[in-house]
Amino acid sequence: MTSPTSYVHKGLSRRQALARLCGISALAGTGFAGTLSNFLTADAQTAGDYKALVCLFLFGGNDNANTVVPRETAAHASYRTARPSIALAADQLLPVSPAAPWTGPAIGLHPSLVGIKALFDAGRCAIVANVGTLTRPTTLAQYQAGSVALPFQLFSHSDQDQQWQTGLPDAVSRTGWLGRIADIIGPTFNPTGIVSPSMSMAGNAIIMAGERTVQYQMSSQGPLAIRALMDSEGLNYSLEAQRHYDALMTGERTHLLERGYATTAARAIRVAREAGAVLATAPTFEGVFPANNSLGAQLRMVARTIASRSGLRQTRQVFFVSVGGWDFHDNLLEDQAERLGTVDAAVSAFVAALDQLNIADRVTLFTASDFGRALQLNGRGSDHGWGAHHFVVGGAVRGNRVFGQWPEMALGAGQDVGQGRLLPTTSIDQYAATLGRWFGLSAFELGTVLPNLGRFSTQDLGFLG
Amino acid sequence: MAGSLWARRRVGAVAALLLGAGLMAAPACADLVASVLPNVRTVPVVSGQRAYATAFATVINSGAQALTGCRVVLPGDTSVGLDFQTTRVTDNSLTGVLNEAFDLGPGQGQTLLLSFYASRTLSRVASPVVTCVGGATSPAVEGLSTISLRFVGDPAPDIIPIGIALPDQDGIIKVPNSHLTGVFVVAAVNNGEAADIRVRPVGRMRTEAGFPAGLLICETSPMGACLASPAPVIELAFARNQVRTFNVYVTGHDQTPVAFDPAANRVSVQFTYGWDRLLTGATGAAVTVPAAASTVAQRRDAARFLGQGTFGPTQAEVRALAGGDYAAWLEQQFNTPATESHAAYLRRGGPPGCNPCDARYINALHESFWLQAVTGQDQVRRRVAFALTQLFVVSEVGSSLEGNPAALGPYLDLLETHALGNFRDLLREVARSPAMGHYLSHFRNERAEPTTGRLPDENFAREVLQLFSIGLWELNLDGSRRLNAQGQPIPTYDQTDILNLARVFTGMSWNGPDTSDNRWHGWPINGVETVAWDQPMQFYARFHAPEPKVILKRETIPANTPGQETFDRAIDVIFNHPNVGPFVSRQLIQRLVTSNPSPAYIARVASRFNDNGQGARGDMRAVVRAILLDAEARGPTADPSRFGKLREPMLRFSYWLRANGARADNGRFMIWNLENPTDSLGQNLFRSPSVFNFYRPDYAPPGDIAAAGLVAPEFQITHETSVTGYTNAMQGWTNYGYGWNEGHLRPDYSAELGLAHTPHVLVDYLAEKYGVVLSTARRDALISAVGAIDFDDWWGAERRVQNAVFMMLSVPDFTVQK
Repeated sequence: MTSPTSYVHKGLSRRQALARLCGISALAGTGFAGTLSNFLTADAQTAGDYKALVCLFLFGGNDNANTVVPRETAAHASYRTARPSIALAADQLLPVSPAAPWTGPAIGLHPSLVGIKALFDAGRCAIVANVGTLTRPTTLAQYQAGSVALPFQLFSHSDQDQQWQTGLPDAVSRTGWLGRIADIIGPTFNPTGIVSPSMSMAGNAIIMAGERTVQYQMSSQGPLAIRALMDSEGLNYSLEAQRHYDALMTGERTHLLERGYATTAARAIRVAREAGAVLATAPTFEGVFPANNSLGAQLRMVARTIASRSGLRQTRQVFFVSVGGWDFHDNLLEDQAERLGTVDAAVSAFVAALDQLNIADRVTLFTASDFGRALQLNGRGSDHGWGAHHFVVGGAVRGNRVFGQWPEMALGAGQDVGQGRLLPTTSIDQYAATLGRWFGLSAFELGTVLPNLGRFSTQDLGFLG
Repeated sequence: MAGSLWARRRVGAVAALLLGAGLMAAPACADLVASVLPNVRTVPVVSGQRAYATAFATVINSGAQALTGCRVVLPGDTSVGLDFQTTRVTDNSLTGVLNEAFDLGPGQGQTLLLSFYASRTLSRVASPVVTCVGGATSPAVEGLSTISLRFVGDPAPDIIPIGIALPDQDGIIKVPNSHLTGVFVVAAVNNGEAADIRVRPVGRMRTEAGFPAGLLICETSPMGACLASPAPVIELAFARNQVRTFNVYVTGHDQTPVAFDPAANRVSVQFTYGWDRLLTGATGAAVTVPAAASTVAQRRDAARFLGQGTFGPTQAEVRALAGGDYAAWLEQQFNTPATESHAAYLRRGGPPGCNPCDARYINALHESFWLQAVTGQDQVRRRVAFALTQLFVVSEVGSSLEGNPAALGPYLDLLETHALGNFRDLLREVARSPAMGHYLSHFRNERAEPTTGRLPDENFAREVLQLFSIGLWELNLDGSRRLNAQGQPIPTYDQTDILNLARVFTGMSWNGPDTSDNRWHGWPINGVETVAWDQPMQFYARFHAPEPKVILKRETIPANTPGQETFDRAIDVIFNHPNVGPFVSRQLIQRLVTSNPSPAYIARVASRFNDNGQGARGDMRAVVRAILLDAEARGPTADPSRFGKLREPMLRFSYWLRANGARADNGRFMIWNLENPTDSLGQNLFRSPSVFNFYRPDYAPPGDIAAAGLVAPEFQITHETSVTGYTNAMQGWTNYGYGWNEGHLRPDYSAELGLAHTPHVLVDYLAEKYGVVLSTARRDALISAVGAIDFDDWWGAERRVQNAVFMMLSVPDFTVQK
């Protein structure tokens, strides 16, 4: 229970774990032996530095069309035609000017994204255009002809948000790509880490689950301790009662659901004991993060955990934060302005906190969401779509740029598969691989993490230096 | 001499008929038996001067022979002297001559006054016996015919129990089987000096070290009302010549009956004083606890059944149902009318009889929900409806329903109204509920508008299929996916179906006598409100899509069909889709019984959905019957390592509230905020983060559960933070109750408090109460944990009980329902 690597699944030896990884790597056509040798040697040489990835998930499917919007007259007119009553006026937009080789129209950001615009202008934020789930490169003609396998259950929240996280839109997976990255990175970079490298501030997320890696769920206040097991007060001060109770809560179980509960309790107890004190002394960033902003509170805890990395004995960390309520079928203008404002304030504060720690170039935050939304108006909102634009933020980001292919935003044009739902031109695999390569994974390892990656020719979108 | 003995007889001033408690009704256990009361006397003595301690005795000749020349003697004791004299049984007045022998005919009894005397301080247990001519001698039985005598130099209290009242006046505490608690009344006078006296009931058995019944005591008013909650031990300042009265509660545990054996199985009340707890008074009675009417296994099974079908069983329900007919119980439940609607609670602003009636805002709906969950008689209806809130999800979170009880109250009423009705009505009423209309945005959804390119909102059309009725993939009757010729699963619908169905749900807005623009928008008409949350949405033809609609490629509804007719036909097509039976059955099984029902179990329930046996489809009673009475739910499980479900946090909480009859002074259940996982349940009514509920039916937590191919939906909200938060919250609530002030919900642990002194009995009692089957090792660990909590300090019993309840409610043995 107190082994430093007890965040790995019980009973799963490293060898078994590798064998399981092999199952995935076989999908990608890469060899097991190569994977093994690779992650035991190459990356170890760079251990000692520090990097973190932060996934910011917008549950519900952000409306991409009103997030990054054409300002240029003709392009804006097409956009406005598709959604007259929910279109943003060109003069409301926050203009940005992507650096060369940008060939798209003049664009602007949603007026709530003041801080993001500043980061973009400062070269610390990039846009990746029209990203989404794909099983392989797919043209509009192939889509219409049905000649290419499509992701299961397009336009369904639960399926698409899962596929974003698993990176496997055409297979059932019990793991996600950040968890699989942690499988590889964890033993090499955090061999004595006292908490899982995979940390969620926002509940259970499959993206954080690896074959070996079990996510640790941390509250915005840090690890919480079970009071009944606190020496000074628990169970009427009886240490003997506490000892028996601890065993009842965490002991071995034959019933699988009881075991699942008990192992979660055991992790909770152990991490609270071992990491609680470390995190309690982390800087609190008073006044940096916005009040009454749940995402801000999550990102504050991420920043505190980053600040505590040496005490936690970690040199690689992956984090998950999220904010819900992006399913804008109705009341889109008002609701999206409010939610993007929340994200803007929280992310801006996060970067400010990283700057205080002088570590912004070691941390990359990226957005994800169930899907984009249809361009066409449904009354007061928009319906479920597919591809969407996403933000990558951090000191290592090649900012002030748009990566991927900018889609034409007009009904019946470009990548429109109907009602202005965008067929993605960049896959999750490519997006993830770019992040993973920066994080230190070799090409071989990226193949194990992202089994479909080999189907896409560009495996580094270039948004990280 | 007679006079002097009479003078010593102060104790008799208020003495009732102190028959040897339990003795008169005794069968012949010896030919000659005797008892003495009180069993303790403390009297001051000045060295060299004789001091007296009196007591009453009863002697019975239960043999067939007449006995003569009987005397009371104190064998082998030279430092204490004894005088005796016969008394009249009716009033204890002296009848015979001091120390004169008496005769006892067959079956006859005799009452006596005894007077013990000594001339120096001493302390001993005296064992007087009656001996007659021919050698017949009563046995000395400790606590029955013995008396603890203390002749003391300093002034001391001398507590004389002067009355013990039992319902049958036969000196036997008979713990009834029905509610397992017997009560008797003790009166006592302090014949000595004022002192702080500790009063404690003590059980004694011939065979067991631990007395297998709970004992609590309270001091009472002259009318017999407890002045404070009964406790295992109480302490009071007892003045000289004061008379105090007490109720003693004996709670039996019918797994361990107590036989009628008055010489051995007794409850006594002991009065002690001083730092070294010197005994200064005692009285007692025989006790019996009958064997249970049902077996432990039957009660365990009844608790399991009720745990699946209700918000948690009460002890009374378990005992009433144990070994009984579950099917009949279900029929009775089906025919139990709803106590009252949530709308009524909201209108009144509180429960019936409230004062003040100031329940407001969304809090009022939570109060009404919990009032019915905890106290409602129509448990199955409410429980199934609660499951339906997780299928037909609406939520305050991130929606226009935030803080709107007017919208959500009627919605919950709707689910409860139809929970035991027909699924078609459920689906239909949900689809035209204004609450759902607002949540999934088909309220005031409009027909397509070619000039602007606007299309109908697809939101409800998509989710009614994916989440409320048929799901994403075509299913076999047993819930498995149907496969096409290529071995691939078959989607139930595509984007074309969604576009068609979205047209159906257009032109719906507030109900009323007209379809004016004002009503469409919810604006007042001539000052009269048009917003009608408690009425189904009606159709406004000019906003309804006129195009033909092809429903799931199964039926074409022609162009320009009126909205309501279109709607009804579309609902019927969905309702009649073969997926609905297995889709809905599986999720209801998951909510009530087990996360991983076998395909055969799903098929059996789905068959009942498809045909209730009388040709009707969608009969919810038939579905609930099939779920709860199925062999898989009732029988021993095929694989005990995977059957069952993680109890939803709200159901763990409701179980505790119901099992302990938690109530507040104001009659309300002011349970408003439960959704924070860091310090509460992480789950609350109508507070899920999205229409996908708090958890998906197919969620499989990474690790052994997923590796075994199992799902465990509730694990989606189970993680380090929520396990810790639940555990800490439960510790607080089990220890201090929920809430505060007049809304403070206090659990009734009186039965547990009586068992606190015997950890193994307490643990077994709690295990039965919470439907938990503990392995031997874990039972031992829990007994050790409970036993390690100090029992001797002033609140020791409370602390031990509270922590025992807390541990039981937080360990995986309880959090996972098997």
